[in-house]
Amino acid sequence: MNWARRVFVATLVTLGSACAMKHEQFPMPEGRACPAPDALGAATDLSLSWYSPVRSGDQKALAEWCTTVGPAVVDSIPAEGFSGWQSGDSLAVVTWNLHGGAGDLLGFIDRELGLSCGEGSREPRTHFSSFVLLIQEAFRRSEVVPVVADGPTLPPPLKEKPRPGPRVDIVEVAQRCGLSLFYVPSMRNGAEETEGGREDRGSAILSTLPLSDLIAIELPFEAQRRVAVAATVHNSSRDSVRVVSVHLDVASSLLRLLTTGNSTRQRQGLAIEDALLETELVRAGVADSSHEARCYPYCSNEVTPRFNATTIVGGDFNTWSVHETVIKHFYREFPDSPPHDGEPTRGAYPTDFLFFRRGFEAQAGLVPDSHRLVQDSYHSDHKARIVWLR
Amino acid sequence: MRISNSLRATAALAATLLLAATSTHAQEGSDWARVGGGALGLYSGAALGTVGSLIPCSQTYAGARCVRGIGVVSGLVGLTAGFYLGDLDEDAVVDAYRGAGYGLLIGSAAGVVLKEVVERYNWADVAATGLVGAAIGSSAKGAAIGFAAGSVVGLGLFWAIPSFEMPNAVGVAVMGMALGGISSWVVRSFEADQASLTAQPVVLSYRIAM
Repeated sequence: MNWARRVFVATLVTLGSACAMKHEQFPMPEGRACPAPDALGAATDLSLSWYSPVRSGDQKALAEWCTTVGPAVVDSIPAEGFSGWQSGDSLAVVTWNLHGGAGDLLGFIDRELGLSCGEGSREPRTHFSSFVLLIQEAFRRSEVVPVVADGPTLPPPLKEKPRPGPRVDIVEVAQRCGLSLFYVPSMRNGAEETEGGREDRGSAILSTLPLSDLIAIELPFEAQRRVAVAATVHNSSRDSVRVVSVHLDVASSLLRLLTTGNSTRQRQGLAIEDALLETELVRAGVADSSHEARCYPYCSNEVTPRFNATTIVGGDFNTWSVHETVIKHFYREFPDSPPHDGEPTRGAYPTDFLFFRRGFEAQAGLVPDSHRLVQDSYHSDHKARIVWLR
Repeated sequence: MRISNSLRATAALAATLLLAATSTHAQEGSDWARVGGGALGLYSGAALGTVGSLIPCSQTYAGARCVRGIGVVSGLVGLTAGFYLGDLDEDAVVDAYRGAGYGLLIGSAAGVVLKEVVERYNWADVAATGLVGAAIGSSAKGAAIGFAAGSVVGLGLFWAIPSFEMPNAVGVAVMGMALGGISSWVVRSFEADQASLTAQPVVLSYRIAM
């Protein structure tokens, strides 16, 4: 029966292609940003590169969410007085989901990293060393966050448990401590004003070191707009480390879950890997990003590219298991990562990770056995992870 | 409350499934039964395979590709079994459609409840819950047996193996339901095959000694 055979083949093709979703990223043209440079007088920051998903459906959704947030904050030079990352010294890298204003970031910096930040003064303690903080769910309260009507692109504010002390936003923390800051909002933190101001929230990098080569990676749209942020820090011998702060979606809708085969975090994770690879190629002057070009001359084989930049990725991957697909991919792409200790970081779930890849001919590497969980959550709903590089 | 197009479509589909089931006369080997059985088997198999593989595949490197592969294979098993069932026993196909209609209604009702309690659960998700209900309803008995067996195995593994997490136990239960549902299509077509063999007229020849 010819028709039966045709139905069989058509079915096979339809089912096979039903849930294939692109994750590839492309660099946005110079000067384009989110929100648009002319919105709210936001200046075009040419030191900031944007990557966005190639799929037009993702771009459309991201553009709608983008109109609800304020511009990125770039303050790439820390205050004077920090000694820099001397060759042979250790650099602490921390990943922590603050849960908006719930996490006591000033307390964390004081007690875990040895930098006391008072009103208008800061004081490094004896156990202080240079550090990089990879932050998720940081909030910013500002006039530049636009007034917009309530709607599906405005998520409700984070449900923070009350804690002692004031809610201090990420910009004020950076100013009080004299840290360099790179903050890119992903979404609004509620439609209404909180404590006299409108708020947005997103990922950030804070450091005692100057930040350069700033990159914002808009992830494929699944449930909410997410933006990963990346920057580069250097030590005194010009060894560079790219640091990336990541926050993936918890879950997409049931319909999307079924039609994409539960690819939410896998797709967003692969997009980050793709954008980092594109970045390497662009920095290396390789214009053609075809598969062959990608593998030459930076790949020893088709699987393991030889990256120039040492890279550390930290963030809230929103996983319920250390065996999830996205985690398997990251351990493969970041083969020098510290082994997971099996400890949960949010309730019973291991959501937060630090991944590491030593660059081609790079000197800096992880200090052995330095990876640990910070047991005190400092009032956030997540615990932080910390690792030392030398 | 505004009811979206997706919910209207779900309600229309439920009505169509139930009407199709009640208005069809039993007829062995009709085109309707073959095509209808194959289509429902395909849908039910693909949907159950997808749902059942979501959690186990999320623990593999392949991830969504693993889900897609299992969905395709399950759909093809359902298509073959449903087509064969329709060829042999139209009544069984009618029963499957009736079950799918009831499953769609029950699933949609469950979806409406979930919409009230789960954040960001929209009308499209309610429709999706109904469609999963239809897939389960078309092979309800097998799915129920599979779910019960999967739950026992999942909980047993959860208690016995410390590294086996509760979401994995849930995954085994759902996988059991999917396997039970898909198996039920194969079992029904096998039973129809057996019944058609025993129902054939037996010709006895006698040699009469003259």
